[in-house]
Amino acid sequence: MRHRSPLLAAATVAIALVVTGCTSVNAQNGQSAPTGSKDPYAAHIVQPGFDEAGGNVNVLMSSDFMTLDPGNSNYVQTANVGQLYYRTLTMAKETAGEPPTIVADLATDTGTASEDGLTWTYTLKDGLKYEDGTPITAADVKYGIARTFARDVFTQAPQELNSALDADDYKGPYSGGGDLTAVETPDDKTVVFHLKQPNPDFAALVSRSNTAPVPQAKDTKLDYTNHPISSGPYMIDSYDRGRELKLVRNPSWDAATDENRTALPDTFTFSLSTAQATISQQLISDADPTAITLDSNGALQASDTSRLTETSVADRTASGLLGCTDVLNFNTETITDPDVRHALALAMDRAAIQVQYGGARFGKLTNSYLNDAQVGYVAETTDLDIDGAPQLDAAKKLLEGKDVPASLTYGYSNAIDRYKNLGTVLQQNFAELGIDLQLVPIPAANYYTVLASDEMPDIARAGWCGGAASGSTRTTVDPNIGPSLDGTTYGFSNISRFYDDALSGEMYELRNTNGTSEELNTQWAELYNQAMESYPLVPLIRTFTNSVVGSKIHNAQVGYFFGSIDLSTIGVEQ
Amino acid sequence: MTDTQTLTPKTEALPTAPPKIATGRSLLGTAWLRIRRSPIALVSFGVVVAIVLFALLAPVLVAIEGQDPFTTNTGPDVLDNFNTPGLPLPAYMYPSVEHWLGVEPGLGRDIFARIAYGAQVSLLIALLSTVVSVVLGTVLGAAAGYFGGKVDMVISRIIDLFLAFPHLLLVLSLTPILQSRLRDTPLGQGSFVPIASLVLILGFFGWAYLARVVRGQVLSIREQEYIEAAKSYGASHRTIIFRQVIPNVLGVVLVYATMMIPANISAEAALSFLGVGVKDPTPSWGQMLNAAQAGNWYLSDPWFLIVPGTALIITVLAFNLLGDAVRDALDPKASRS
Repeated sequence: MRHRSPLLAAATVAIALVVTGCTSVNAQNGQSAPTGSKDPYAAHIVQPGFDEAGGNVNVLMSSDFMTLDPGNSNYVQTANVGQLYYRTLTMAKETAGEPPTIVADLATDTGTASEDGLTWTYTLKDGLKYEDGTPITAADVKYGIARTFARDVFTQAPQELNSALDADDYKGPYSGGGDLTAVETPDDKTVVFHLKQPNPDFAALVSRSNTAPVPQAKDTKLDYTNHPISSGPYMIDSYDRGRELKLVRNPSWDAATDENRTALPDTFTFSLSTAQATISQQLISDADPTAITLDSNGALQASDTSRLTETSVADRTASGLLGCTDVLNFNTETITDPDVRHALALAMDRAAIQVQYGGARFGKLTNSYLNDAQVGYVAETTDLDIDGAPQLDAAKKLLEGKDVPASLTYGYSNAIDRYKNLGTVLQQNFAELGIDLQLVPIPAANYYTVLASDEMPDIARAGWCGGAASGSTRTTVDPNIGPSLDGTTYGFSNISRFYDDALSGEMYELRNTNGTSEELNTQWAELYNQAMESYPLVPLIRTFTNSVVGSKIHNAQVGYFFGSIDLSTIGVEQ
Repeated sequence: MTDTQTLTPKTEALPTAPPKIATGRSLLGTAWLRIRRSPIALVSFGVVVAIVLFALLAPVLVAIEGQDPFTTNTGPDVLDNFNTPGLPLPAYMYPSVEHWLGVEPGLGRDIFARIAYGAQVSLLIALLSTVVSVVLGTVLGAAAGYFGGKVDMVISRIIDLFLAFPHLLLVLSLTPILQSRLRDTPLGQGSFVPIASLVLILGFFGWAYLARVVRGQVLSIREQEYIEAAKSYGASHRTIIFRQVIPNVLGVVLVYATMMIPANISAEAALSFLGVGVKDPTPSWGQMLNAAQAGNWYLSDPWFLIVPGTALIITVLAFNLLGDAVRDALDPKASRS
């Protein structure tokens, strides 16, 4: 699934070379290079092992949350703060630098699958209550899921779980469409899911905000975002949209039912309109020792990054690799020849592109949008230079005798300068092949809508972060270059519009196959590798996020999935 | 190149005017004499000439430097790849023999080359759009003043409309539309569309004030006896407007034109800064300012703002002072005290 939040999709500020490449580059620069023994992309957790309760954490953000409604949230920022005020059947528990682990949350375990893999059963824990003291029931979980089918009301409703359920005709609880039969609640404690196809990673889909319980009587549709009823350790005290959000302890939350959230601070105060440059400077100078940020890339500005090497700042910098990879998508409907796409990919100076993202400190040049921390990973077979150097001779050779386009378009989100510069780099590279590249600005707010429309340029950048199942290579129900749910065309998340009868057909079949996560994901990875040989997209950078926190903040880690400081385990010294 | 050519016809057109002026010296002759007596005017004139030469000779100068405005240099030997990623290393940040004004952050393109080619773009757009404004303003203003009545009313209301129009907002919304509409046509290649649309937009929205002034002048000119005389022996309106009326308002037009050039240079820079003007990789001063600001590079080193900013200030100031001097020279009664 594409993350549309500015957090991940819009703003990966980063790049990096693999360990060896990085070392050699820095040696040339005559700068302090990370030594070979220490992985420059190792995760760093700030002041771990802290367990004192109390205090307030100030969260500085440059803009308001897109929504706080778990039923209308496709946003990682919301998912992060959501850990504080809603709980789900299972939960994606973050460990810096690694894919999240799926653990039980409202449910007693991560679910029991039937023999055929088509039915999953969950049982709620005892003693679960909302902020008003009323008990959380299986019917509320079902109602929360039902809401997310009402896409006419909730345009950003998460769909990963829904598309796995056997409920294609259900339109949500508002339009009188009857009952959501794919989810059954035989009693107050039991939730049963009926799936279209077996899915060994189903517990990961259940961790998405769809399964956050919503009491039907309290559902105010689009206004629910102003005060979602809390099932987690905190509840909303006040919310002034675009300015400030204050969370206080939820007295009805029982720590005995929740081993995933340490819930140490008494309160969280979110300031929602602080300029990024200000956030960056405040955090670096430790102006507020209790401050953190949820902005992408820790709100760091290129001009401030040199200070990250200062020991006093480095100690306060949480960092880790994310599951997000920035890729350049070719429009495979306009650049139809795989050899032409391959040649364009070879001609790209990815090292120069890396500089636009902020250099080695902010990410890792990658030849795949999968990574070896995922279940089922198979080494990629693309022949791009891992240090990012262009291979013009090989590219020219591929183009011999080909119908080479005289002119191509590169679309970029106009709000972000680095994406324009990325186009300028490509313009240079393609000029070597005799191709004129036009840079086409696209309004940032409509960026992904334009990519999905007839206006899709020949080349466009996108951030691919996988989805709920980011710990396995399939990553989501609707993977990056996969087919649509009915298998007849390219899928919703497939910006490259890649569709190959044989390969896409195999992917479609694989969806229907029952097996272990390991087996199936290995097959996915192999199919991706075959698809990548025709270069529907070019992997660029795997994001490495640095996020500076105040000196009194403890247990600060950067979430692989959230892309920012994980709020569920953070603590603050008083 | 075209810059100077477009100006020449106007200066040559003036000799047709003298017979109607009572003094022994021509309008321009008087003006030139006054300009020569003012040191500020001479200096600003010299600077303007130097800037125009700089723009015209940009390819030569850049060739001497050995660079070009488009080649990126992003290697780790040029741009920092770790501490402040994308910032040029010290040897490349500031003037050197190789790069006379250093290189840009992020893409490592030569700043001197971009300033020089940017001067061409700035002057070309400013001069052409001024020509558009002047032609429209003079012809429409003269027509309104000469014909009076309904023609005057219609044109005057149009002038009012244009003066009241929120130009900046219109330009901000219109430029991207024009640019994207023309993108798929043969005209859409390179930077023709951005430059042409800036010329048209700046030109089309700059004529109203001049038209109003010209109209006022023409209102008094049309009552002159020589106009009556021309009418009496059957000269057409067209002949009278172009032969008798317009030559007599050329002084005013010249003053406004010299004032409009720096305004258009600033406007072009502002629009490029706001991202609706000239597009990368075509160099433009406004866009260089924008790049320094958008990437927050100015926080690392104000040098990236100083260079294009200084070029812009010098140019606009020189043209403005020259404009003042021309006004004083042509119209000594105008306020100067």
